[in-house]
Amino acid sequence: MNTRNITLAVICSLVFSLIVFLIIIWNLPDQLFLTNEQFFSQELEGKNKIFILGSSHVYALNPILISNELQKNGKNFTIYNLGSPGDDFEERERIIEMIVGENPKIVLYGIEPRAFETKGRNLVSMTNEILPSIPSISELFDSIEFDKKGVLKNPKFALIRTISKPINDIDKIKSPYQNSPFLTYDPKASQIIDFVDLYKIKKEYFSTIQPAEINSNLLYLKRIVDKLQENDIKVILFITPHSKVFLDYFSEKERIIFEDIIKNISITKKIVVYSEIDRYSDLNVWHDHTHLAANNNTNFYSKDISKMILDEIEK
Amino acid sequence: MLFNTIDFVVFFIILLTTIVAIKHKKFQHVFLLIISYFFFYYSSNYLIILLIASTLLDFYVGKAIWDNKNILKKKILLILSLVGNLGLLGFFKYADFAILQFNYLGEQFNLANDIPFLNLALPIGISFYTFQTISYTVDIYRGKLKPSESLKEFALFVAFFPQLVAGPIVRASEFLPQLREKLQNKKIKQIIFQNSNLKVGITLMIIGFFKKMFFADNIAPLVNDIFSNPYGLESFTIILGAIAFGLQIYGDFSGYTDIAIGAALILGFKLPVNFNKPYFATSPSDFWKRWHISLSSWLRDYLYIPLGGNKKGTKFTYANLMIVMVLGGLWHGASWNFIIWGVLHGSYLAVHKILVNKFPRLANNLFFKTKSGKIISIFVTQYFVFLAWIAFRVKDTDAMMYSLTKYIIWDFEVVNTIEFILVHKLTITIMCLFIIINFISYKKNMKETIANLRLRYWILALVIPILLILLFFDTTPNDFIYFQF
Repeated sequence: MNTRNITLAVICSLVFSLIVFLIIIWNLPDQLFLTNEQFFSQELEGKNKIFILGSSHVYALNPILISNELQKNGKNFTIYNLGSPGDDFEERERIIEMIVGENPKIVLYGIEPRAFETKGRNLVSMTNEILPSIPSISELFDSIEFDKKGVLKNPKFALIRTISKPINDIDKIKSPYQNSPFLTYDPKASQIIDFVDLYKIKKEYFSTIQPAEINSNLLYLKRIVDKLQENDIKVILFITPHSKVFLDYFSEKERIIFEDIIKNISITKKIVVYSEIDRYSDLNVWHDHTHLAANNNTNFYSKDISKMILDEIEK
Repeated sequence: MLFNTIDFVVFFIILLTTIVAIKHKKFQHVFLLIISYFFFYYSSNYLIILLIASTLLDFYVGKAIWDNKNILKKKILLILSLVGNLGLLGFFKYADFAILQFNYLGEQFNLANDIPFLNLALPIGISFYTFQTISYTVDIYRGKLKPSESLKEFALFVAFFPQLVAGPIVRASEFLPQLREKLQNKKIKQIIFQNSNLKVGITLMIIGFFKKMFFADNIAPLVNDIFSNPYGLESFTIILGAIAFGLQIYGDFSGYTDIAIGAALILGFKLPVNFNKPYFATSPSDFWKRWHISLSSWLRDYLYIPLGGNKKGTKFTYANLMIVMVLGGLWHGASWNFIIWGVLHGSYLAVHKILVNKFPRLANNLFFKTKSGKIISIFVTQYFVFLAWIAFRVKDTDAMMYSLTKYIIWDFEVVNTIEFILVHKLTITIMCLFIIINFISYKKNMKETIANLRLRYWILALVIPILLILLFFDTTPNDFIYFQF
């Protein structure tokens, strides 16, 4: 066996692996892309659109109710609740172009402490550079646009999403509210569970909210805000409501980190962040620790959000 | 430069191509030195000055020690080298830690003014290259090593890129002779790729990348989820976290070492083995013969033995073990958790020695030579090793104490643990796979087996890990854990 054969063998294995990888990736149904592409390919009603983004924490928001509330105040907007369960800023950034393409007037983003759990993916701090730095080849690769850029950006995500989708989708139903295309949830989500039972479902929040300076999720959220602001889309951030049970379990240490993150994005992106975190915390309207029950008893959530929008429009 | 980046792949290809293209011996050596400095400068920027300073200091001090016949002068020169190297290490690594302790003491005595922190950048690999240069000077002082005649060769020994930032800690006596021919008046050696080295080197590198990028990086999120805020977690969750971290750090560090040894081997250099199935160790002392071998042997030769080793009676032996392990812990970083980790390992070694000395019959009992005896020894040893990993991983002292308590005193609750397992199904599967592979490799040397495969099977053996790395690669940058030391 000579050097040439070994070199050829290495090249063969690299090329073969890369080809197999690309075949798998290219054929992976990129769920996020597909569902969004399908939705955004249709002509959306309404000239003045407002999009609501966020996770399952926004599922109790009724777009039609918000739209009606705005209309009562002479503001004509079509509201779409584009929240999706387990919303992830990194994933959301992948499809931000589609949202921008619809040219909404306002984007409301519902955020919550757990949205900043980085699942162990933190930013690495680098040495301060005094002498000239050498351009990174990795950054050059990052700038190359692929057709399925989103999938290639983090193949692991797409792969896991595809594998786990059939399992995760079992027993999930579509949102009962109109203009909420991506929200699926547990059919029991409209049920209210009283506090005695909520406290019984003792849940330790093993959240890992990393400080602002190394929090990768904050970085992705900032990129989303940048993209929207660059396209003259007004961005409103609001912290979604949580029950007093959650707030009791939310540690002081993480509360401080979360507040620091909010302060950071508010200052750097010059936006007001509305906090609804404890607004309804004492009311008996909760399905679990962090989700309002999605029924007529929680319409006040939609109404309060419409007031928030009105405040921002009138600014 | 991180090994697990496209930057390194490009860097390595350019290096190999240049070495193949230009056969001039002197050029090859100079090029290897320049490219090693480039490798360091890429991520360390101005901190390269420290590397060069340490190189110059020990090259000239080493020469002076060798040339000087006066014992006192030799001693003074050795002290100069030690002060220089340990001064650099101490200042950049431990200054802020010392200030913090001073300020804390000041608070206790109601002294109003705090000393401001220096907030110095931690130079990557400083703990590794200072230990290499110290061993060089000490070996010359002991008369065990002849100083390098060429500054260029010595600089290459210190800066050789595969081992520069995270070891293995190479001794000059192991590396410098490799730059010269064995025969022919010891002329400088031409770098040529030998087929056997090339195949083993590539196999090692792929295995290293696989350990780091597939196993360690995919286990890391579970570890971070558990230990960033362990309060309220059940015993079994903490145990799961300790096992996960043990696997992560092993995959991470031994992965780095495999890449380093593989890259060096391709270039024709043999670096010392750093790991030998550490989680199959049957006693604490056996563990330290298998884990980070280049550090443990360095500590033995340059600290434990000079302190008197086991020659000054049992009490001194135990004290020496403790001193060595505490300093070994502190070597990892300026933080109390590393000191506690060192204290734990020092205690394990001391207690094990006491048991062996006091109960020689038990130690020599034939049961421990049987399969079941070995399995029990492995489990008991690893229980304590993983306990110490908690101290290594959890920086916050209160969180560490909580985790250690839960690890030792079980609460037998499982609700949380089941939730963790469900959330981290993939990670748990990867952990199980890692354990299985390690178990197989206990009986069979996988690296050699793969490297000895016929070419077509070898290609297949490379494709599987490469494909898994590509598919499960998380693009969020993950440093090698040992880079920070």
